[in-house]
Amino acid sequence: MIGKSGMKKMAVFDMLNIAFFVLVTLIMIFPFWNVLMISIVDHKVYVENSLVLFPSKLDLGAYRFIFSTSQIINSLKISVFITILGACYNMLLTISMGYALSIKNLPGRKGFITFVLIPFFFTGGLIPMYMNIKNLGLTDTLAALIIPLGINGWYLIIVKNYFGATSNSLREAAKIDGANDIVVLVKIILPISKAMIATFLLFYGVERWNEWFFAMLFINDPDKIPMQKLLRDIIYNFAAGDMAANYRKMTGSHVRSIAVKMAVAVVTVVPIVMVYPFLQKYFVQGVTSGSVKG
Amino acid sequence: MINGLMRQDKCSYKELQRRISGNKYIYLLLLPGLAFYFIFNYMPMYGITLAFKDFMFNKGIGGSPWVGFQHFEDIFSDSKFWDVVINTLQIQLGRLVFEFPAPILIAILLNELPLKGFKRFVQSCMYFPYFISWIIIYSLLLNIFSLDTGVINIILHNLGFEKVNFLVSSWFFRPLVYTSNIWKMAGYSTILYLAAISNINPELYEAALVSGANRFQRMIHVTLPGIQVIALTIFILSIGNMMNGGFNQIFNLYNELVYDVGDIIDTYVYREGIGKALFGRTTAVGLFKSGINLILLLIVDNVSRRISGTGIY
Repeated sequence: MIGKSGMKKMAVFDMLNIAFFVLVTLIMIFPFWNVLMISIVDHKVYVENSLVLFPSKLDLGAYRFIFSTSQIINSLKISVFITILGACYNMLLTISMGYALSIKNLPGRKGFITFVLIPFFFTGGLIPMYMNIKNLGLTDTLAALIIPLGINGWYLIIVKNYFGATSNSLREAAKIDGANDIVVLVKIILPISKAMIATFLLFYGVERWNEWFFAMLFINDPDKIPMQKLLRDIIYNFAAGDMAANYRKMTGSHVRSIAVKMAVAVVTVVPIVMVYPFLQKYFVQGVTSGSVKG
Repeated sequence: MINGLMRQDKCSYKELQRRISGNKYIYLLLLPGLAFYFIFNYMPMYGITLAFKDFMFNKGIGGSPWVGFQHFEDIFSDSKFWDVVINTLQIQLGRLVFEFPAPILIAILLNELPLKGFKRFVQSCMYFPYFISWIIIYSLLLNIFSLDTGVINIILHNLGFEKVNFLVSSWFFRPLVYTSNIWKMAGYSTILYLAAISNINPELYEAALVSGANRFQRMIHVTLPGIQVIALTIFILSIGNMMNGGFNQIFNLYNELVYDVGDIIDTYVYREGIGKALFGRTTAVGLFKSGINLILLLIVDNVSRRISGTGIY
C-alpha cells in the first residue's frame, strides 16, 4: 500500500517536522541569547542595532558595575540563603509528613490525609493569608520567605505515594528487629530514596530561588530583598533607586541601563542553568510519577 | 498475619491503643507537618470573617464590627468587580482554546522525530523555561516586544512597517499572555503526553502498518486515542482552574494600560487589598472566588473519578 509517492510524502513530512523543531528550538533559545548579548555588547553597537546576534565589540561594564554594588551582592546572598535553608526546611517537612502519611495502618490516617487535602479545595484567599503572616510578626524578616512556604501539597502527595509504594514492607521488617520509626526512616528508608530526595530538593530549590511574591508582600527593608524581587524592581522601575545615579556617576555619559537590567537578569537565571542538567535527570520521572496514584 | 490480627480485633480498644503507641514516632514525624498546615492553611481561614466585617486597624480582625453582607452587596453592584470576573473567565477560556492543544500537538510531532539526539536537544530546550520565573520572562519579552529596542519592532521598522507598542496594547495583551505561557509551559507539559505515548502498545502500530495505514493515519488512529485519557484529565483540571487566570504571569506582564483586558480577580484583589488596604471588601471578593472554585473543583473531581478512576488529588 505504501507506494513510492507515500514514501516521498513521509520524507517530506520528516523534513517539515525537523524544520519545525529547528524553528521551535530557535524560539526557545533566542530570547536567552538576546539577553546575554545585550548585557555584554558595547553600547554603541547596541544603539546602532539592538538586534545583537554576536557581540562584535565586548563591554563587560554592566557586570563590573552590578558586582560593585552592595545591593546585588546582598540580594544574591539572601537568595542563596533562603534557597538552601528553605529547600532543606521544605524537605524536612515534606519527607517526615509524607512518610508518616504513607503508613497504611496508622490510626487516624484518613483524617490526617483529609486535613491535608482540604486546602487544595478551599483556601482563605490572599488577604486572610497576608493578615495571618503579618499577625505572626514575620513582616520584614527572612523567616517570611521560608517558614510560610513549607510544604507544596502536590509534592507531599507524590512523596507519600512514593513511600507507600516502596517502603511499607521494609519498615515492617525493620520494626520486627526492634528499631524505632525515626531510625528506620533515617537509616534504612532514606538511603534507598536518594533519587526521590534529589528530585524534590531540586524542585523546592528552584521554587525558593524563584520566589518573589512573598518578598513583595512582606519585605520592605531593601537590605532583605532576594534577587527575583530586586530584578523586578530594576526591570520595572530602573530610574528609581540609587542604581541609575550611581551608574551614571561611574560611567559618565554612557547610561546603559538596559545592559544593567539584562546583566541582572542573566545573573538571576545562571543558577537555574547550573542545576538544570541535574533537574533534567530527575524531573521526567517526577512528573510522570505524580500522575500515577498509589 | 498482622493484618489478620488487626481484622479480628478491629473494634478492640486495647488493639487501637497498641497501634497508636506502636506508632508514636510516626505521630512525632507527623507533628511538624500538621503544625505547618494548621498555622499557614487553617489559621488564615479565621481571617475570612473579614468579609463580613468593617476592618479597623486599631481593633484587629476580632474586634472589628460586623457588617453582615454589606461587602458582598457592594462588590456585586460594582461593575469593576464584574469586569475582572469576566476577564478571568475569558482569559482562562482562551487558555483552554490556545494553550491546551499546544503540548498535545508538540508531543505527537516530537514522537515522529527521526533523529534521537536532536529530539533530546529539542526537549532540553523546551523544558527549560518551566524553571524560570515570570520576572525573568518579562525581561526577555522586553527585548523582543518593546517599542524602541524590541527585536520585532526593529524587524517591522526595517521592513517599512509602523512600530507597534505590544506591551501596552489592549489588542495584543491576551495573545501575548497565551503565547508566552505556551513558550514557558508547553514543552514541560509534553512530558505527560510523551509518557502516555510511550505506554501505547507497539503492536497497535504494527497492526496499523499491516492494515496499510500511513503515518498520518497512525498518528490519528493510534497515537491520539492513546493520549485521550490524560488529555481529558488535563482539560477538566484546567476547568477547575477557571477562577484563577494565572496571577504569577498576569501580574508580571500587565500594566495600567491593559487593565481593561488583563485585570483578573487575583490582581484586582492584590491592588485593592494590599495596595489600598480595603481588606474587608477584597476578602469578600476572595471568598466569592474560593466558593466558586470549591464548587468547580468538586465537580471536576467527580468527573475525573468517572473518567480515570481516581480523583484529582
